[in-house]
Formats: sequence, C-alpha cells, structure tokens
Amino acid sequence: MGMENLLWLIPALPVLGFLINGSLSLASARTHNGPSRGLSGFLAVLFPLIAFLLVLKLHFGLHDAQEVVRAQNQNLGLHLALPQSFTQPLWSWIATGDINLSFGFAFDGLTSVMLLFITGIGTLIHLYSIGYMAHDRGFARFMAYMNLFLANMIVLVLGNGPIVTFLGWEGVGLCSYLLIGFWHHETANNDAARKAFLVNRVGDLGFLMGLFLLWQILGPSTPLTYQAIAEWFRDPAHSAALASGVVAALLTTSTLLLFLGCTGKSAQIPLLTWLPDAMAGPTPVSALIHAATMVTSGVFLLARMSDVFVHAPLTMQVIAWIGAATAAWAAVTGFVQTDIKKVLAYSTISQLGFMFLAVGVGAFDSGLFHVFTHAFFKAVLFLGAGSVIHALGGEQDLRKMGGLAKKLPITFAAMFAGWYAITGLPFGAGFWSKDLLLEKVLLQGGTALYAIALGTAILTAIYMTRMMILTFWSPSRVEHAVEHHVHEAPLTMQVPLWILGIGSLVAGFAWAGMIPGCSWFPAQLASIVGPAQALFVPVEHEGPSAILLAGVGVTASLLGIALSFGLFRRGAFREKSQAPLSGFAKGWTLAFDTIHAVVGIWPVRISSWILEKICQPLLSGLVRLFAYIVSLVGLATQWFQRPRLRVNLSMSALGLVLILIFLIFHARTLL
Amino acid sequence: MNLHLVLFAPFLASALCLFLSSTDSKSVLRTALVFACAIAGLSIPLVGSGTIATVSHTWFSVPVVGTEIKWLLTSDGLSAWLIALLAVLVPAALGLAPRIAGERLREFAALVFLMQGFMTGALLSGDLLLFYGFFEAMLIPAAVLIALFGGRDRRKASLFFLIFSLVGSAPMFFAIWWIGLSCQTTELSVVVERITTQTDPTVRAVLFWAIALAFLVKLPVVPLHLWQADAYSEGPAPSSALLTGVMAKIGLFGFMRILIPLFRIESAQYAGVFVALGLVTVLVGALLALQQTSLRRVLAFSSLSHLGLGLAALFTFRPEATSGVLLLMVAHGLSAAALFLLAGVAETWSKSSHIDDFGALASRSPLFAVFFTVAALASVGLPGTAGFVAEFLLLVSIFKVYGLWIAILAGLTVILSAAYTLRLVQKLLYGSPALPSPQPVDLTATESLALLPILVALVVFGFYPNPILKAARADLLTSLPVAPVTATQDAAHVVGR
Repeated sequence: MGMENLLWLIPALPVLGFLINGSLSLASARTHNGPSRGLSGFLAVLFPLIAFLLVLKLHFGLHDAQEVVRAQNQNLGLHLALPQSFTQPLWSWIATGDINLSFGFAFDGLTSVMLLFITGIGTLIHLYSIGYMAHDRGFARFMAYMNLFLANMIVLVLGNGPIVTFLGWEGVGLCSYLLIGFWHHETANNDAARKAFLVNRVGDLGFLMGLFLLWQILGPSTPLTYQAIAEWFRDPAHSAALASGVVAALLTTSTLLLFLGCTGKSAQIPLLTWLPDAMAGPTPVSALIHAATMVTSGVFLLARMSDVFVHAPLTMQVIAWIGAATAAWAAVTGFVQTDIKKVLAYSTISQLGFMFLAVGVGAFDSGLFHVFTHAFFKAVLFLGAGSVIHALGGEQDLRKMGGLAKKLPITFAAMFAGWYAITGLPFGAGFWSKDLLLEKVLLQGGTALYAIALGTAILTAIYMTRMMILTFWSPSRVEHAVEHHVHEAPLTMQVPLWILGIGSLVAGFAWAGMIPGCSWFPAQLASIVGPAQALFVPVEHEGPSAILLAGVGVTASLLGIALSFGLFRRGAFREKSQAPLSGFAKGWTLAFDTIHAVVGIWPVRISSWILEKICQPLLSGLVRLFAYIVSLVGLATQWFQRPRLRVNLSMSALGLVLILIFLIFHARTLL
Repeated sequence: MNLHLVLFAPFLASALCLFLSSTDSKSVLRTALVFACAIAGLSIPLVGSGTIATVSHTWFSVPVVGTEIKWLLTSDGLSAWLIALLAVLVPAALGLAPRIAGERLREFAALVFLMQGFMTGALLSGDLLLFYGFFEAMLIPAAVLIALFGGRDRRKASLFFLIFSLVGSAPMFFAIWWIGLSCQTTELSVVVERITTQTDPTVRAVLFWAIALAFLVKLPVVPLHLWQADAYSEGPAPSSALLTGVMAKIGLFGFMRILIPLFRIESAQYAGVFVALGLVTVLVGALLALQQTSLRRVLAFSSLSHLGLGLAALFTFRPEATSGVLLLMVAHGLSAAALFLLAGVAETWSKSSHIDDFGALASRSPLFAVFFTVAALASVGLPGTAGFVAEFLLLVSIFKVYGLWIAILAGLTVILSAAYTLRLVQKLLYGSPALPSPQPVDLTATESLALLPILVALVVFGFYPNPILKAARADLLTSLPVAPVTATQDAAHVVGR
C-alpha cells in the first residue's frame, strides 16, 4: 500500500507554494508592481488544490482499504481489524534520555474530514483572495502567508502526536500574526496582531504544561502519539490506575491545562479577546483563519484526545459550561456591533461556544459536525461580507450600508444561504448540526445547558438577521460618493461564493439524522471518538423525541428572525450616531480585556518598572559602594606603604600583645 | 582531528591580519573571510570526531611543591559543537563588520580572531590552569574591541566589563591553586579522581563557590549581570554577537565541564540555589527586557533571560537537560548573534539605537526584515526552530524534578519572550518610518551570505536536533575526555610537542 507514503506531500505542497511566492515577493521588492498577479495567484491556488485532490485520494484510499479487509473477512470468515488509518513515521525528532519523539503523520477518519474542508475551503478562499487582493502591492506576500498558514493547519491535524500538532498549532498562530498585521503601516493592525500572538501564547503554555502532566501519567516509555495515548486510555489494565485519586487529580489538572490551550486558539472564555481585534486583517484571512479553520483546532484537539478527556468528568463539565457561557456572551455582544466583520467575529466565538458545549456533554462527533457545517456557512458569510466591503470601497460600518440586495445580487444570494444556514432554518446546514447538537445537550447535559443554548440560538437568529437587514434589506444609507461605484465582485470572488453558498445549504446532509443513509459524517469518526462517547455518563437519559426538538429549534429561529424584523426593520435600528462604539457596546466584550489587564498585563508592567527604575539603580549603587570601599582600602594600604615608624611600631606592638593574649588563654588547648 | 591546528589557526589568522593593507578595507574583508572560512573548515569536522584528546604533556611543574601543570587539549561533543558555533559566528561577525569598523577593519579582524583563539582554547583545555589562562585571556580582546569600536560610553562599558569579569574570576584562580597543591596536578581528569580524597568537605565547599562565582558572572545571572547590558549595547555589534553567542556560553560550559564533574556532591547539595538563581534570572531578565528603550539592551536582557533557563535546567541533572542545554547554547548562540548583528546594521541606518527611531523597515529593507523576523522567531522558540526543542527539553526537565508550578514559572518565558521580542519586531519593521530615508537600503550580498548559514542552521536543527542532542550524552556531566595513555595516531606528534 503506497498511500501512506503520500502523507508528507499534503503539507509539503503549500510549503512549496509559500517558498515560491515568498521568493517572488522578495525578489521583486524593489519593483513598482511586484510579481505578476497571474503567476503568483495561480501558484497560490494550484498547490492547495493539489493538496485537496490528494486528500480526496487518500480519503477514498482509506475507504477502499477498509473494504478490502471487510470483503476478506466475509469471504474467509476472519475477524481482522479494519485499517483505521494511514501512518507515516518520518524521522526521530527529539531523542535524548528516555524521551523519544518521532516526527510523522497519521491520516484517519477525523483527519480526513478536517483536511477535506481545510484544503477544500482553503483552496476556494485562495481563489477568492486573487480578486480581493488584486490591487494590493503585497499580493505575492499575502499569498505566501496564506499558503504557509494552510501548511501549518495541515500539520496541526495531520500530526501523529500532540508535539507535531503543537508545531502546527504555533505555526498557525504565527501566520495569524503575520496576516492580521498584513497591512503593517497601521499601528492598530500591528497591535492586534501582537495581541493575538500573545494571548495565544498564554494558551500554548497551558498546552505544553498539560502535555507534560499527561506524559507523567502515561510514563516516559509511552511514545507520545495519539494512537499510543488512545490505546493507553482504552486499555482495561489502566482503569484501576485511572480511578485512583492521585492520577485522577493529575488528569483533571492536565486536561484543564490542555483546555486552556484550546480556549486560546478557539477564542473562548477566558482567552477570547484577540479574535474581534483580529478582524484588522484582510477579509479572506478572517474567513480562512478566524472562522473556518484555525479557530476550530481547539475542538479538533479535544476530539483527538477524547479518550483522555472523557476520564476527567470535572474538565468535561468545565468545557460544557465555558462553551455555553461563551456562546451566550458573544451572541449578546453581536447585537450591538456596528462593524460587519465584528458581528461575524462575535458570531464565530458564539458558534465555537456551541461546539465546545457539545464536546463538554460528551457529543464529540456532534461538536465536530458543527465545526464542519460552520466552516461552510461562516466562510461564505465572511467572503460575502468581504464582497460587500469590496463593493463599497472598504466601508465596514453597517450604519453606512443598506439596500444592497439589488445592487449585489450574487453576494446577497450567497450571504442569504449563509444566513439561512446559521439561523437554523429547515434543511440548511446549521439546521442539521445545531439541532443535533441541541438534542445532545438536552439528553446528556441537562436542561440548564439546553436552556442557555436555545436562548443563544434565538439571539443568533436576531443578530444575524439584524446584520442582513442593515446590509441588504433596509433603505440605503450608502454615501453618495460611494453609491455609484457599487459593483459586483470579479469572477474569482464569485465562484467561491457560489460553491460555499450551495455548500451551506447542503453540507448538513452529511449527517441528516432523520433521513436514513445520510450518516457519512459520524461513520468517519466512529473509530476515533466512539469509545470515548460510549464511556461518557450523561446527566439525563430520557428526553423528548428528535422531531419535537427540531420543531422547538426551528421555532426558536423563527422567533428570533421575527423579533429582529420587529426591532430593526422599522425605526429602532436608525442609528444616527456615526461615532465609533464606546461605553457599554464596546466595554461589554472588553470586560475580559480589563480582566487580562488586571491579572496579567499590569502586574507585569509594574514589576518590570520597579525592577528597572528601583532595583537596577539600587544594585548598581551597591556595586559602586563596593568599588568605593575597595578603593578606600587601596588608599589606606598605600598610606601604610610609606615608612611611618611610630604607626608601624605601635601596630607591631599591638599584634604582639594580641598573640600573647591568644597564647595565654589557649595555651592549654595548644598543649 | 588535529586539536592543535584548531587551536592555533585563529592566532595565526590574527597575526596575519596585521600584515594586511591598512587602507583597502575591501581586500581586508575578503582575506579575513577566507581565513574565517578556513578555520570553520578545520573546526566544524570536530563535531564528528567524538571524544578525543592530545597526549598529555607536562607544561611546567611548580617548584618546591611539585604540582604538575599539563598542556592537554581535549574535545568531546560539548566543546566540539561550541567550537563549531564559534566558527560559524566569526565569519558572520566579520561579514557585517565593515559598516561598524570602517577603515580600521584590519585591527578589528585581528582582535576578533584573537578572541576566537582564546575562546577555542578555553573550550579545548583539559587542564584547569590552562583553562583559567584562556578564560581570562579572552577578556582582553573583547574589552579592547569594546573600547576601540564601541558607542558613546564605550570606555566605561569596557572597564566595567573587565573589572566585573576579573573580580568574578579571581577567586577561581585561588581555588585552582589550592586544588593544584592538594592534588599535585591540575589535569582535569586526574583532579576529578583525587579531589574527594585530597580535600576535606569544608574546603571543597569554598572551592566550589569560588569557581562557581566566575561562571555565574560570565553567564551572567541576576544579580551579577550589571556589566552585561552596557557591554552588549555599547560595544560594536559584531563583538556583542560573539560575546553573547559564545563567551556567555563558556559560563554554562564551565558548569558542565568543570564545576559539576569536580564537585558532584556540592553540586547536588546546592542545586536548589542554582535553580533559583536561574529562574530569577529568567524572570528578571524578561521583565527588564520589556522596559528597555535601546535596541541592543532589549537583546541583552533577552539573552540574560534565555541563558538563565539553561542554568536552572542544568542543575536538575536530567539527561534531557544536558542535551537541552547544549542545544540551547547552539540555538541561542545562533539566533542572538544574528539579532545583534542585524541590530548593528539597523543602527548604522538610523544613526541611533533608540527603538523609537526605527520603523517600517519591512517595506524599506525587505531582506533585512525577513532575516530579522526569522531570527526573532527562533529566539522566542517557535516550533520548527532549534530554540523550541531546547526550551521544550529544559522545561520538561524542570517539570520532572520540580513539578508543575516551578515549570509554569519557568514557562512564563514563553509568553514574556514573545512580548518583548514582538515589541521589538513591531518597532523596527512595522509602522511608519521614524526618520525619512532618502532611498531604500538593504543588506548587501556579503552580509546576507554571512547570515544565511545561521538561519538555515536554526531551522535545520529545529527539525533534526538529534546530532546535537546525541553529542551531549547523558554521562557528559560525569565522564570527562581523558588524554590517551599511549597516543599513536594523535596529531600531537605531528605538531612536535
């Protein structure tokens, strides 16, 4: 089977794209226009596209390999285990003492699902960027960064163990930093980029420390690969150890720290502050990194290590409640935003909260399914918003939009599809994933969590509809100077909008629980998260039927939409003030900025100030004092060197007396 | 491998430099680079030669007491990698020197080679007194470089540096003298065997601290760090690069090669003190770096912080810490040297060292920006660079011995280093230009070529650090390279000693 030897190519292709476009950008730094847009755009799309095709090939290859074994089992009456993954160990990465970490890749059902949309949607967003960034001088540099991001994201999900994942984990953080601050002449952009990196690093420290603790539980002889970790936790021989108090406490601490890492990358409480600021980057970046792929890596990691987390019930509860709180908090915030991208940013945080909620109640597959559908509809919403911004010449303020449905019909249609999906109207992608999720929350998490989630679903419908009303349906408030320039985007931007728009309508059928046969998605994940889900002990076992719950969900959406029309269609939305957000509307989210400042930033600043302004001068004063004393002693000795008969004699006499006294009193001991 | 050749080549180069033209600095640069590359070609193969030593000769014996001082050069993975590091950094330092040294490049190159020679000597010494000689001698060219080519406060910085270092290592001289008297020799591998029987515990504790002090100042650790920021920021950038790149590492090397093998009981006994000193250095260094307004002072405190982590981890005595510390020395040596060299270039452009006097270099000098970014990322330990693997191993070892909370304390460097380094990146590369520049400037081809190996090595060792990790074997702290009893093929004969 040669399939597994292809794994390294998936990340290597975008790396190649990065290197080529990076070199082109650097080589043409002195020219006026930079390298040819056609060439670097073509290359930037080509490599992700080949990677996508490769993923498809591997996806079917894995399926075929399983079929072959299944057929063998049937024909010969054997019970061979089905191959669940392709693995490609590449080289020994860190080997010293009893540590031996290998660098390698593993491709299984979870990886396959993640990679399909990462490379697939990634390719589309690259295509979109060609149009969106066409007039930017940094075109090739942008494409290079995007390719590098894709490569790191691939490494993140394809890594055979948490350390290789960590390589991608920090790598996507770096690319996020580079892309948020892409327009680096603006200090605000650079500050946002730096903030994203630093907040993520706090989470990354949690990731590392959680990993160390996990390693301590596993023992140094266990190789740190996902397969070995899963096997260790599934091994019945270890269940007694896991039940013991010490190990349980270690495991709880370890999983909480790992989860801290996830809250950083996925912008959850308490590390959510960086994502709204990250909207400073170009819109395709927001779509690719801050909506569809990178921010979901926290959910991915939890699912990847589901066997570990399910043994830490306290952590699971924390995850569920943090997810619910973040979802509700961010949804309320989405209400008062005036920047179209900020609305979508908070919406992303809120939807990620849903995913964590699902994971926390032990429904890993359902959480991942929401990751999958969300990637489609949030990408199309962001790209649509980008198209609107593009059409309005860079305007992002919802108060200066309106009436664009007729002027931008394609953008409108695509965003309508995204809106339809996210609000959870029947048979859209969000309908399937969100309803499944709500059902699992009720059955496994209890009514309190369900109530929060349902309330958040209503809020989601309200603020998303508000955004649509303000952008497309309300009377135009577009400035006159801009109004007659409004134009539909070029073809390279339209094609991704079309495809993703259709995707947001149909992606949900990958797991349409009510329709028989529509269960491709859970089948992919069964072998990875299945054992953990079987172990999870739900809070309640009985609940209303799925149909009834779906009805409740749809009613919630309709209620939210109706409320939104009632609130914003007529007078209430007429936000006359054009001033930037302040006070409540701004501070609402920044509560966490304040907390970070109080807990982290100010203590660091104050102690660093004290060290520099007080301790350093004190220390150098001490050194000076010491030097002064030494020089004084030097002077004194100098003084002695000169012949001074009386002093010398008297000193000698004094010494003699001292020696005599010593001899007299210690004569006995000396003898 | 001929150790004597490796040792004497830099001295020869230094002497030859004095015969070069005093006016044609281009030809001086070219010749000096050829010398430096030749030395690199001689010394880098050492990393593949394993543990070797020359024949031990009695250099002189002290009259009356009969203590034998040996002339003995030894090399194992530890010293070989540091010599290789030095051999890579010297060409880079020379390649970027013309901007700073200008007309006096000849003297500059001679001094750099002299410093390289003494540092190589310190790394190769198999005898305590021999080591001491090189250890002190390497200060002289360094101090002269600072005093001749430095910035406004160069005299003061140079004097401060010299006095701090000399005072710090004076007790070591007496300790070595005492050891020589007690053990009848100063040959390192013999002293290791004799010291426990020839001295009593109280004396050993005093000797231990006397020697430790010298290395603590060299590293340096808080609160013995006052000389460092001045020396690094006032000295010419290439010499700062070599100071932090290799000379500071000789402090760590001293712990590994001399202090711990000689005083195993005391090292274990006082390990907590060193871990505490290391951790304090990590945090204080990082916090101070956040406050600095001068470009190279930020880098100086960054170095302080990173090497503190090495010290803390070293005294956990874990095998992965030994490997990790060597990797840290190489990784930090490369990245910090690159940053210092680039900082020196940026300073010549803006004629200032205040961080607010830069800006927008990313659009004005793209090549510079790429180099600086890569070096900065390596310095913050981004996975995929050697710094990550080193930091990872050091944190693991601290975690294994001292538990989660101390490891988190040490791990704060992950966040803080990103904070001060990215602040620097932003001030230098992004925003709007602080000073209007008439035309775009960038690194020259020579400069880029001189720096490129450093950056490539950082990435290569980020993915494949095993050669370095293996070189620092677990038993490195207990077994020393020993002179062969009957040397047959060794080069010592060839040289004729």
